[in-house]
Amino acid sequence: MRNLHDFELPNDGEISLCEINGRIHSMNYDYANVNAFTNTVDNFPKIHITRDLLHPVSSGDEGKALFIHVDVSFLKQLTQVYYEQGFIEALHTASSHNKVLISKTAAIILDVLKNVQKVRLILNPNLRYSGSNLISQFSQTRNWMNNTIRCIAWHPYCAKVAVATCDDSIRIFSSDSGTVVPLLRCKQQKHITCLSWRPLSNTEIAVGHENGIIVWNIDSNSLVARPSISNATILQRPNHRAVMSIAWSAGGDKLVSVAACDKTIYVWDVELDKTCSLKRPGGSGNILVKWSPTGEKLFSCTNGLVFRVWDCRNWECERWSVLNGRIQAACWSNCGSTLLFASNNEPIIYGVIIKNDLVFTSDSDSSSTQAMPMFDVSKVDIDGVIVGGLVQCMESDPKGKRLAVLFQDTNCVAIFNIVRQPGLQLIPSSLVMGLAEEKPSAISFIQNFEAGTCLTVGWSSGRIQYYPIIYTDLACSTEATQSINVSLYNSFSSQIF
Amino acid sequence: MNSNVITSSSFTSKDLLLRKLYYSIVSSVFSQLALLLVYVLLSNINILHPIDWVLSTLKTFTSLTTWLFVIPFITLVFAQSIICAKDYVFKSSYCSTRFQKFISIFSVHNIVLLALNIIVGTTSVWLFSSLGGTQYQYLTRNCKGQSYCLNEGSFFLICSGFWTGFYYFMKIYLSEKHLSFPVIQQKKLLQFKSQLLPFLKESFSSSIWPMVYFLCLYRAWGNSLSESFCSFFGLGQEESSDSPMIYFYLWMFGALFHFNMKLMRFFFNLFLTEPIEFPLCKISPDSLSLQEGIMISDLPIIQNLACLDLSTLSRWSKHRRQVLFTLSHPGGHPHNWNILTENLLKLLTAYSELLSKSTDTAETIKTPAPVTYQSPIQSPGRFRNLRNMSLMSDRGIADIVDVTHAPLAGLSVPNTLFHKLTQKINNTLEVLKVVFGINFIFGELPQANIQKCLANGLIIIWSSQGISDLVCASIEEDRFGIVQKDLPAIITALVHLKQNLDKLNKVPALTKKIAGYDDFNYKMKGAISGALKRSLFNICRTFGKFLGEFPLNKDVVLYLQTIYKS
Repeated sequence: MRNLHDFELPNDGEISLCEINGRIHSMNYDYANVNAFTNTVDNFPKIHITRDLLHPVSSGDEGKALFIHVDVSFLKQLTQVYYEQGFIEALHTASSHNKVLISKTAAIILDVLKNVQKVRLILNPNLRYSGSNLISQFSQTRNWMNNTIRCIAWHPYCAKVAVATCDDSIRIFSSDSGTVVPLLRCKQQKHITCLSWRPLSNTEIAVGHENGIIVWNIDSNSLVARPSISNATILQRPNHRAVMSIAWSAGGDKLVSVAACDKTIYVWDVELDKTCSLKRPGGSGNILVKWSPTGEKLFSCTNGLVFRVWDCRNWECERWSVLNGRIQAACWSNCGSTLLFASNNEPIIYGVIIKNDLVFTSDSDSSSTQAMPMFDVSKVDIDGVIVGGLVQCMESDPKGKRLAVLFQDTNCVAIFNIVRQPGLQLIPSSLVMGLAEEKPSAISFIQNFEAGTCLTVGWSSGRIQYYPIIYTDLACSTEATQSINVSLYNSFSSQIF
Repeated sequence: MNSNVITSSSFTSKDLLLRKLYYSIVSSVFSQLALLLVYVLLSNINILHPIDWVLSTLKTFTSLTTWLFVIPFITLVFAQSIICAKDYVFKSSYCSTRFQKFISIFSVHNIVLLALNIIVGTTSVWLFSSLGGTQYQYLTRNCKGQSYCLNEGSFFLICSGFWTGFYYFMKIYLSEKHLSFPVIQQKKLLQFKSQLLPFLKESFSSSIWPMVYFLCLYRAWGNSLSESFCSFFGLGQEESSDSPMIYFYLWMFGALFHFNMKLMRFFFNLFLTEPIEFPLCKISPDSLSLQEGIMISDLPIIQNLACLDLSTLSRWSKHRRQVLFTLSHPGGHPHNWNILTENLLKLLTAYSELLSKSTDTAETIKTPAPVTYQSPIQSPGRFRNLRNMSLMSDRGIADIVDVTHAPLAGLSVPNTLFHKLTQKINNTLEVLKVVFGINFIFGELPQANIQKCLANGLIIIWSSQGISDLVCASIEEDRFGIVQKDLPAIITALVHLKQNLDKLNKVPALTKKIAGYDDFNYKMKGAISGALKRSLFNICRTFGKFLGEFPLNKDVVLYLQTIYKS
């Protein structure tokens, strides 16, 4: 198996900026400017979200800090706590005082409640939810809790990018400079975990957050900088908490969501607010869901050993399991016939070939029976820089030719070429490094980059870097012309849009 | 091959419906039996002697008396589900006035169903209590002095069964008659499994309020009722104190009835909404094809299934799409495609006309009918869709200006006087109608028509998605350019429909503020317009470069641009 030693780092003090026709261009830290090599990313918005730009997160008790603590009578304090923090907190306050009868009763009630909760948890382990720590543990974003940038999502058709930040808001940047940057923010939207633009629509974006999903509809012609909640559809289900990942179907009519504390995978009809549940044994929650590019297969993985590949025509699944740990990151490649994944305790990228149609009908001739280890990404020292380790997140580009890997505790993003012939292979391509002290937090590919493909990396400083990979794809272009030749439309050339 | 889809070579709509109804009725009857068995098993529970437990259950279930009870019950359930079936299969009539709505409740069908519901409610309680081996097993019992006395508890429970049947029909059945298609088609067993527990929970919670109402009613009239019952049958009455267990039984029997009814509804939903693969060309003269299925508006369930099949085939099944894109062997005509588009366009234009009619009631000026692509050669309708590659423009049609002659005014003084008089009389009549509440009762409900449109929304959602996916697939799969000639008409029909739908935004009852999130009509409006928008977007994206070549109306092109750009 190949390992990360095959990568080459740029000269000391330089960082790589782009790759043009297989050649990696690098420049010194201080003068780094990708425009020196290519003008393909000129039109894209320059994004740098510094800490000053963030809005303060309201936790509801800012007012308290302004007032000096005074001693009030026990009863008054109790009523205050009851009104402000609810019944349970009032019981805690009551039991912490030394009022003989009341404190004892309160303690007994608390005990009873605790035991009831324990029994409920035994009966239904999904109810256990430990807040943002849990999200941080399962998230695809590195250091989800503290990094400024939590998610980056590129619009499938136009140069528009949504960036979720740690102040529970989303900013939408578009290529036209000077336009307003809509800020999506509302009270219900807390702890954003994932973003996804709706296919076949220019305006809709779904946001997965702690308590559910919000589908925003943002008119790009509107000049409103802070769209109100009336532009959004709120989707929630009881116990479907800490939505970890969402995915739209290729036609944009269905949305799939998974939650860390819910075994059930929901398939939503967004407008009608209807759901169907996919439920199978294994694990106590789900953390990742990805629709294959062709829309025929859906990958989902639980927080246990099991992961599944669903056929979206009849919604039956193929069950896979890892030996230990769980899947941390996965992505489709190769037009949806290959699934690449990495687990959370082994620095190896695996690949599974999933054949279309045949998988669910005959067992003998189905896809590979076990995953192939494709690349060893364990930590290595290349010229004094440590690269690799456990994988945090993997993304493949829309054309299925490149794979970007974000590691859990090293600061380089590795880019691989995906080669299909003769067998599926990962070929090391380049390493993307940030400026000094910068750590990558999220990665995403631009969806419609004509000159090749372009990776965007969100760094811990709040800067978003473009890493264009420019190539002329001979194989792809001949395929395209062939397919067009079949139809009769090639005689037309005038453009309307 | 999708195993969830029923495939069959040829069938008529009658075959199809009968098969589906047969499965649903049989499964609801069997589910009742299964529930009964579970109930008997649970009521005989004896953990220390499991063999005794099973044996006693078997004994109860195999005894003749049990079957004497069960068979009439099953017959009743059977009758009930057969009569229910009509509600799910046939087009429900829409009532445009409050009076009509009121009258429609008292149809023969409803009265028969109400009676059956009440009887089934009563018998189910009677059956459960007599099979359960409780003290309420018999309605009468021996008491000292007289030979027979009324068993007050048993009477109480049976009355509750009567009430539950009545309440369920009036409150729940009448309001929830439409079928709902699941978002994704899973296997039937999985759907059943996933619904079972939620149904049980729901039934226990939904039977609480009827129970409370019943307790109040029984407290008020229970005594007089039992007295009259006793005097009628010559039974003695005895003061007896009931154990609190009776309230538990009351609740449980109520919940079981609700559960039964929910299951019956679920089975109808499950089997009727199961997707069907329609044949794309006629095999025998009376067999049903997809193209015909789309037009059967009298049987909405078949129309829905046909549209669903269209959307699935256009997305998933390349070889079925190929059937549509082929030419007939002798003659070389794209018959399959022609019939499909003709029917689809009819469906879409009919829908958009209905919509525009119900939104422009205030406007007296009729908008010109949607411009559809038509051959200038007058020919029988059946040859209208012959392939014509000369790409005619319909711009000419659109540019024609209607000139109407307004009559000269001025020479008709008596006419104006008469006119004023009639106007005055009309106005007074209007006021009187409002004052006496005639308008309230007999006047047309404001959004009745729109609601009728929106109730059929799924058809439009699926057919627009289907046609747009088909058209987009055609760019690579349609070797003969069959789709090309119909593309302008399809786009125009979709755009007009979307424009008519946009008018609904002005209807106050369909705005978010008034309707709220949970309103079905509001949600359906959003769903249809979203689906149409995505369909048009898909076409624009696929044909972006070539759209200028198609003879499209200017306003259609403008509208497409707004959809594609924003």
